[in-house]
Amino acid sequence: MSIPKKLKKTTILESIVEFRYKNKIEIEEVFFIVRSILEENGFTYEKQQIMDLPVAIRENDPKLKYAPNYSFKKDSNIVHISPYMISFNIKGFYSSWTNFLNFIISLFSELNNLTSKWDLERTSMRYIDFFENTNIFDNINISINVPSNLCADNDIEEKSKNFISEFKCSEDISIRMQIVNNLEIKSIESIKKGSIIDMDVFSINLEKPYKDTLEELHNITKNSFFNILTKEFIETLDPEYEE
Amino acid sequence: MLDLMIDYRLPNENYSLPVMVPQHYEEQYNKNHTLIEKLDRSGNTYDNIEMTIDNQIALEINDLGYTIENITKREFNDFDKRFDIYTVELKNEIEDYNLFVQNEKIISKKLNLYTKNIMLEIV
Repeated sequence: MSIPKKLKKTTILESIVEFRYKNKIEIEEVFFIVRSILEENGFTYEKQQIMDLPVAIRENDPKLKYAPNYSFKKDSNIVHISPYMISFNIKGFYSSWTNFLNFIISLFSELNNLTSKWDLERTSMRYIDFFENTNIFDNINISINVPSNLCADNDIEEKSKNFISEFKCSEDISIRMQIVNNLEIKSIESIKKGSIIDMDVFSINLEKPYKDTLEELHNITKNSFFNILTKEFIETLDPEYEE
Repeated sequence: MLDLMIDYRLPNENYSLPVMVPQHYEEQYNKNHTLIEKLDRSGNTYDNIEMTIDNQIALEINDLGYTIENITKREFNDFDKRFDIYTVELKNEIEDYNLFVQNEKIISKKLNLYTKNIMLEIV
């Protein structure tokens, strides 16, 4: 089955590419280098609250190791940094993979002074798609069935479903996906109800040039996303196919 | 681990520090951390995930049957007032321009853009 080139209907809320590194570079140094380049490109920065925590806590809790210490923002483009991580994020309207890739490459190449000091640990790509007023479990090729006698003789009414799974695609690449229905997200006007598909694909291949890794991750993410959705549902999202 | 995590929590609940139940710990650690969100215990809230104004505008325009090429934002200062101007670049030709201008006004009204000092420009 051929997969669409893109969907004309807007579904992507956020897209992130994250590079994690094995060795630490002091956050002051990371911040100084990144700031000097991003400010020239029109970004403004914000210190994250994690910086108010003592260094010993920040650096010893594995959960905080990759959490952003500073965020640089220009419209919907965001760059996060920590002593072990740099990530590139589009929060808002996603025009195309080409534009997202250009955003990453243009800054990444300028940050060579910094990235050359780091030893890559893994590269990941994450897309979060939202489907308003939709129970996504009615529209995907994954089913989770609950026995009708779950509550003895009482009829059951399903309130919410949350599917989390991790798959190994190859020696180097894994996918972690989370699919949730009946959830609420904030918007400027109101709370919106719907479902989310959250695909997080990561590679531990350290040999490939990063651009090749990004292309590979993008292909896997895109294929997995469209293969999860039913054909009928894809049609409701105004797909655009290669001519 | 749960005790430690509770100790680390900051007063601002909106901050993206994770507070997960212990059985989710490993999963969460393996995840792309840039965007740490948490599900509440009923499983139906995704913290820190929101629909931004440009995505809302895009959805409204999609509903009119138009495909969007790009959306850009710029600031405009008029004396003491600052406006954000969202320029929506369409892929399709606009067939009925008068109808489209009407729809543009309907979208602005529906999303309350005027009160938020946001102007919409569709090209």
